[in-house]
Amino acid sequence: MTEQPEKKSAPLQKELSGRIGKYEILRPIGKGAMGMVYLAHDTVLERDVALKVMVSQIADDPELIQRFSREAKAVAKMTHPNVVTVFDLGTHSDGSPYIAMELLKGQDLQKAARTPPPMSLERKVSIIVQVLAGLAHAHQAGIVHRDIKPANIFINQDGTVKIMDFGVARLTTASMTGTGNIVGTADYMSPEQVKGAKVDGRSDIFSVGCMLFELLAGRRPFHSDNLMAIFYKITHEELDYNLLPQGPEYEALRPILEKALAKGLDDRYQTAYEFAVALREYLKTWATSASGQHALEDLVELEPPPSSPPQPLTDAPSATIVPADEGELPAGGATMDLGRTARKTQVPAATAARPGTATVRGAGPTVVRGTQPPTVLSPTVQRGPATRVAPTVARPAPAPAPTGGSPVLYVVLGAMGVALLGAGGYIYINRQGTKTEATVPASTLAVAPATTLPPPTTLAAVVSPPPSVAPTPSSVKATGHEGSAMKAAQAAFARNDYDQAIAQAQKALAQDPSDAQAKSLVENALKGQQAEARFAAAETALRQGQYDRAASEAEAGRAAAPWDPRGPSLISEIQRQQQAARNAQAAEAQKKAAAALASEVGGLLTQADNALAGQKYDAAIGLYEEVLKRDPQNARAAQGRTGAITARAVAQAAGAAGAHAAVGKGFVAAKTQAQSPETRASTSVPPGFEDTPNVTVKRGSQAAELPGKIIFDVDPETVKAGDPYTVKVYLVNEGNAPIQVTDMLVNTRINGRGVTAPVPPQAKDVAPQQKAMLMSSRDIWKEDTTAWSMEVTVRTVRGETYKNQVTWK
Amino acid sequence: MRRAAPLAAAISLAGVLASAEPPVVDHQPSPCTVPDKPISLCANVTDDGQVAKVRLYFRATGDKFYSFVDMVFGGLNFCGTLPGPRGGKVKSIDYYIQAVDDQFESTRTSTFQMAVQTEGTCEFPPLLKDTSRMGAITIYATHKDQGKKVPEGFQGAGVSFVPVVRK
Repeated sequence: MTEQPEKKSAPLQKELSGRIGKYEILRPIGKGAMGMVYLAHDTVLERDVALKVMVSQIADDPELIQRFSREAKAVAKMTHPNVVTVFDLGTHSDGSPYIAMELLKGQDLQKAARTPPPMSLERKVSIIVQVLAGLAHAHQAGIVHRDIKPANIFINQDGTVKIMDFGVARLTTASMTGTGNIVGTADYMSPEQVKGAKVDGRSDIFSVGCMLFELLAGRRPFHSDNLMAIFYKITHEELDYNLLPQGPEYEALRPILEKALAKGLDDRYQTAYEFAVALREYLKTWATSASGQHALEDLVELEPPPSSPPQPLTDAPSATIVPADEGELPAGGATMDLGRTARKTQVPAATAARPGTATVRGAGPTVVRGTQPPTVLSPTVQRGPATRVAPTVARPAPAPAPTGGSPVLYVVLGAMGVALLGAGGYIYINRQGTKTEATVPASTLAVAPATTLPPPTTLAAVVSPPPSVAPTPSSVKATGHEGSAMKAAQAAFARNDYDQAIAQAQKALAQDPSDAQAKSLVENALKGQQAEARFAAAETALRQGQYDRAASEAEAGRAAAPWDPRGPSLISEIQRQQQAARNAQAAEAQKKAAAALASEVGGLLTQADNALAGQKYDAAIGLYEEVLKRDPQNARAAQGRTGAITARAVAQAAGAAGAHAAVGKGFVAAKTQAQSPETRASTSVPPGFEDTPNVTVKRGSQAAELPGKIIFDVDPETVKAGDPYTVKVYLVNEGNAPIQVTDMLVNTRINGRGVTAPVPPQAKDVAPQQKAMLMSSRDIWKEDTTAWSMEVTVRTVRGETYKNQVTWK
Repeated sequence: MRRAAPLAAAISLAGVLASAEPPVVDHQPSPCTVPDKPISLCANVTDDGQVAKVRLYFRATGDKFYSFVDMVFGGLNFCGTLPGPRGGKVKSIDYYIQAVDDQFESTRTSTFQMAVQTEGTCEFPPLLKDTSRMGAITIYATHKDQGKKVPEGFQGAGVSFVPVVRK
């Protein structure tokens, strides 16, 4: 293991050289709060290790040494891909305790986060999930880290995340608190830590939340230059989540962060498992990119949560750790150290299978086969290449075949398989960058007793990775050509080279036709080939603009091979292009619709205007409203509609009155009264024609014989309020001589009031036996008209007067 | 009505004696007209005696002075024709009607504003266009400062302008 120096200096310790026990000190590789870290060589097992030698201050306190020893042992019992492996625990000749642990190559998260290129969001979340996976395992073992911070998270060169310094923090904190010093940074402490209360795994969850926040926001959540200010912030101040970057992917993370960073214990995630599952679900939703998919694939197995929240690490931490020689499953099962159980625990006979039969984990293909009983592995394992173990272990089986049994047992047994694979499949130890594949002797292979298949509602639900992860076989055989072929097949499968995967798997099958793993791989690769064909068809359809068909093909491909990243990618592209096409179509349609609307509106307005001009108010209003339906902002239509409504109201009111008044009424003209100068003098007789006693001169009038007549033409004959009407006045000449008109006087009376005024006659000469229009006048019939009459008087050159009257009655 | 005054006086002597009220003017205002075309406006004017004179006063909105045209009795109503407002120059026309009876009793309507709108948009209310009487138009000035020309906002073709004679 490596260690990054802390800024705050630890008690000075002289560098060691030579040997400590069986370890040959090669050189110091780090200095931390607890002491020095050396690159050392295990002269017995012939391997390089990281040797952490504690400060002598610890050595002076027997109680601390005891606690350190106890906790170091507990950590040493943990086997998890995300927890640095402790090999050995011992005491230096000067009394300083030391720990030998696996040597890691890479850098801690603190450095990794600052080293370009920047990590993707998916990678950051993936790292945190791996940390949580390791913590979940530790918490189930009753171990609380207490000092989770980026400097204690190590990123291996292969990307695997390892939690370092388990259990040490408790020791350190206990040691330092007495002098008032704080070791390392306080930024990641939980509120209960700050308050000095007992802590449990939920404290680590808070610290992980702090780390996640820092990874996302680029700053520590409660940071301050003042230690007391940090404490205050941690315990009292609400975190400013606005420091997070903008975007829906960050918004989706916020509730997860809020729960992890809840100040109240009960408000926080109760287990690291819960926290990890939430993040994994987040990744499923948001990690659509290839890197995101890889991030998902990189996630290690998540162990099921304990049946109750983790209890604070008491003075008897081993109580939660399965004794090495226990032959029964621990009470509650979920609190057991799975890795250790896998090695040591004997499965009850009821669930045991015959040695040598295939052990099936979950519903997957064969995981581990062997003929030997369980054996402790680590001391005899040789060096192997630095390769992650967990991801291959974590992969699910494609076809569950559930049977009955205890869910807890299934979980345990399933996890046993995991641990066995981790131990017996591939164990890789890095030595100075030299990687040698280990061939594990058959005698050291862990043999898991046969188990029954767990029901999917228990194990499958707990341990199955996201559906997008390829259902590749969950492990690889360790030896022989068959194993080599399978490795090649898996590698080909991983890069979606299904042809090659099938070819290699078939090689493996040729050597072992019963190899269920190879069969499964062939089956899945065939599905992958089907998916490839679908994807190709989808791409063709996409190029042709057949989006529905493309989507259908791509969906079919994704259904066939949900692990293949080309599926989601292609579907996403299809959706993007389809949406773009829809947008373009919508824009074009909108343009056409606007043009059509303008044309239609124009036509309707013309019709409406014409209707209004023709006093067809209802039609006009309807047409204007049609325009307004299509174009609510059309001012011309709005104005026209208002005008038409007003006009209609006026007309209707007038019509009602007029109709009422018009009942039984019409225009009736009288007879023309003609008067000549002679007529006016007819009462007298010419001189010499006076009456005598015997003779009475008869007086007569020629007036009736005058040839002129005034006639009226009123149109319409029946009037209504609001309607126009026209009165035309004619002079008819029934005589044999022309009539010459000099002037005309019109007296029009409406409702008792009138106007008498001359009207210039339009015609002055009326030929014999002809008629001429003297006047044509037009008006609107008033709604309040109750009496109407017109009297016309025409005078001729000869002094004749013609008078007539038309009355509305 | 100067020309017919003797006849009117002769016919309605009793009415003249009885006339004591000003004329009543009944006019439906026109909210709009179109540019460059004359418009005929009509009103019903009644009186208990004789209606002596009816005039239609008008100006382009914003102008200082009104001009007027005589409204001629057509048998049913009095109509007067305004010259066409120049398109683009006149946005609206202010007008009112004044009637005087033979007892010099006078009535003046409110001032109406008639918008000048493009053809097709001005259709309401239906105008009473007595085209038969839209012949020559004679405009009378009301103020000496109006000069001798038809007001600038109106068409001058076929329009006679009678200025106020300086005394």
